[in-house]
Amino acid sequence: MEKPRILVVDDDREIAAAIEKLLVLEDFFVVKAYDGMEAMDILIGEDVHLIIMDVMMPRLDGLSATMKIREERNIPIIILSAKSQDSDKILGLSMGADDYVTKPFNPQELVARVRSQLRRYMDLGDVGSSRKESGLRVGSLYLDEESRELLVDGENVRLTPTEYGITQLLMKNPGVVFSAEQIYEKVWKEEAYSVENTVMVHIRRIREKIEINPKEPKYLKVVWGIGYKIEKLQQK
Amino acid sequence: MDTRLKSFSRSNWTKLASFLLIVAMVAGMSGIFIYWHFSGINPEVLLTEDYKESEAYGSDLRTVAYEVAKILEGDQETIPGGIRFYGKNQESSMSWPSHLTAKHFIEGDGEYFYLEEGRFKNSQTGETIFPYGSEASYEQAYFAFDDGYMQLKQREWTADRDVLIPLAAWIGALFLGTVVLLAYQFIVTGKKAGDEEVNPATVDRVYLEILLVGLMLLGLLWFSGISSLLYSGDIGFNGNGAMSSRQTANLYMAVGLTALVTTGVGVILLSVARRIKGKKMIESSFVFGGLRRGLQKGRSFMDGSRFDKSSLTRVLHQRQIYFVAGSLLLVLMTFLMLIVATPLAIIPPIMEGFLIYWYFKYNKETFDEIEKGFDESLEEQMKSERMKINLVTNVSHDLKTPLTSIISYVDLLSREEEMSPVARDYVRILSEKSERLKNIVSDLFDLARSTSGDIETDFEDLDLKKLVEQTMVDMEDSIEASGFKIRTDLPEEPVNIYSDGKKLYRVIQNLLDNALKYSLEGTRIYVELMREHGRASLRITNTAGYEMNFSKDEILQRFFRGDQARSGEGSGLGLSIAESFTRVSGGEFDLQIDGDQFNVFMKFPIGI
Repeated sequence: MEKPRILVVDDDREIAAAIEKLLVLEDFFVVKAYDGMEAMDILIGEDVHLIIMDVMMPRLDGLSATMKIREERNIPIIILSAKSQDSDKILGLSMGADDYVTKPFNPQELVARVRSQLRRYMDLGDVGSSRKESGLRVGSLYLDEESRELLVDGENVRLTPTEYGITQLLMKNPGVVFSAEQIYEKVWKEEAYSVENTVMVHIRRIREKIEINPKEPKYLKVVWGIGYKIEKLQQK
Repeated sequence: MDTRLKSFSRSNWTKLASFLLIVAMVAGMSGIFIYWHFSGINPEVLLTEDYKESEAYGSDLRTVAYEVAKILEGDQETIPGGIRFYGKNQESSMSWPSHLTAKHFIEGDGEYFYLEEGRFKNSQTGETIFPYGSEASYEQAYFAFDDGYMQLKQREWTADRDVLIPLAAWIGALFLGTVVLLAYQFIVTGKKAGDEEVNPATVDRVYLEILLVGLMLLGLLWFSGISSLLYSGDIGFNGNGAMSSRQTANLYMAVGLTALVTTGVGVILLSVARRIKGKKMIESSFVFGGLRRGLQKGRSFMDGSRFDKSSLTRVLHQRQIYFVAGSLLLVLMTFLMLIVATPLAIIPPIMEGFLIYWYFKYNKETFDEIEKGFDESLEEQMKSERMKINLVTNVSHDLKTPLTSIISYVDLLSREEEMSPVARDYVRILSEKSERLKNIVSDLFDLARSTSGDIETDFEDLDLKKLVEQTMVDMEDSIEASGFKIRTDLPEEPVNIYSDGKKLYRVIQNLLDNALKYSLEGTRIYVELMREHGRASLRITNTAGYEMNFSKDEILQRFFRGDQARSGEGSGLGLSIAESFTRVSGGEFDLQIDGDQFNVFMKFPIGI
């Protein structure tokens, strides 16, 4: 199989070079660009499977470039930015990026995120969107309700029946916050009494199984003081 | 004064005992006086041993002389006991006992009294004893006291003396004691052992006038009480020399009343003494203190000195005063002109017009100036605020970019296979430290953002109890690894507040992290949540594993950590972030260092 081709866009040449070396070590093929315009040029001539995009760049910034690319293509884009506020992340994702990684990043985490995005993209490809799915999908999570299997980036993740129940409940209602009591009553089918800990422990376990960085979960989130939810992600 | 003596003399017990002693002594004195009053003993017995030399005898003598004169004139028939007399005029003579003649008196060796030029005189001293009747119709008159009678009188006198002298001695002693103890009280009142300041008591906050009125009322109460008690009992004792039951009852009541009044008067006088010693007499007076305050206020109002800090306001104020004064003057002048020269009365109103014009014109200028200054300072403030925010954003970016390179290349370096063990160790250290630097930078910007107000908040209705529970489960691993036990005391029902859950999670996480990091081994960490005065109150308490020789302010200052804790992990900003995040989440944050106990308090308004 052909090596996946990754476009790294960063005006800081050292960072771009570091990411390149990192990815090459992981057996990827890397192309570099130092601003948005250059990236756009490369995209015309070359076949690229994933883009890692800095935000603050001369000529064409990362967010504008992402928006432009999205108008035509479905390639996974991971934004890499020093801006770490929630609003920056939401803005980046709403511009069409698939993931948002803040600088300074953990190299291993970046690689994991690249792999995750690539798997989903290669697995589903451009045809993925047209393929008929019978299960529940949120981002790269896919829950096959017939075989009771959870696929993360196409890989099967083992869940206990309780974990499965919780995941199913939350994935059926992405974006909806459930309190521990509600989750308990719906999954355990028993009256809930002092169940915060029980539910939270299960949530943590699920998180460890499905999240690349459980400390900064992308899907399964704690809404502090209220409950739990699975993020509603844009379907592409 | 010796310190030990001072601590004794200034102890509250000593003061109280001496005060009670004073009250007892004054009451005792009053009792003795009343007993004396009821006994009816003439106080003169104290002055002279000899009845004949007493004023009482002189008074008896005059009475007798008067009565003798009356008898001789035929105006009186009863003869006073214990005397003999003889009188003679042109027509007849009169005597008692009947056989007496002038000779008995003149030739007797005793003292007698005779009439000369219409006045009785003493036969031995020649002294006029009684200026009676210049037109006496007697040629001769003599009288004298019986020896037996005089002896009886003298015995009575001596007996009274025997009663009264000890009583007087007691009164003297009690009085002296009272004076001494009062002086002591005045000296030590308000002073405590080892403290030369005058410490005011509660009663010292009462206006002086009220105390003085109280003093007068007490005096009035005492006088009316005592006088009604004194004069409702008979004077003199019954046959066996004891008081009647009525007199006894009155005596006890009078003593009680005196004790009561003395207590009140004592408290008031001591309060006054403290005021004098503390130089607070005038201040504590309603009239004088109030007058002084009023004067000060009035003065600062008139000369505008209370606007010292803002020159423009002062200018306005002064102009206002001139305007009012000038207008008043012009009104007066108008009236004057109306009386003196009516046509000229038009001048002051015209001048008033100029005054109004002047007033408004310059006021407008001043207002413009104030407005300008206000706008400028506002702009300045906004500019500096914006600069601060920009600075944080730029510095953040400038720090994070090289840090990204460092972390990335350290990672690449660590993947190099051909490296000596020493180099590998160095790379490990670099990796750890760059990771720590990353945390510090991240914390630093969180803190900078939240303190400069440039932070996004996401307020929603949430349950603080649930949040605490979620945080604890989230931190389960590190809690278990630390080996500490966390004891929670959470209410049964939800504690709803309107706040930013994500930030509060960071707050509690930071605080628990600190507690786990700095607690003494084997101690417990307490997390307590409750509703208090309509607010949610969260408290986290732990026992420090080292001496907390710093103050609350010091530890809240950014980057400050107890010296012993400096070498640990973390950025040292955890507590500052917790404080700042609590505030931007709408809560109050406070901490208290009590010996080795470290307490953090957070309070939030309770939502619906």
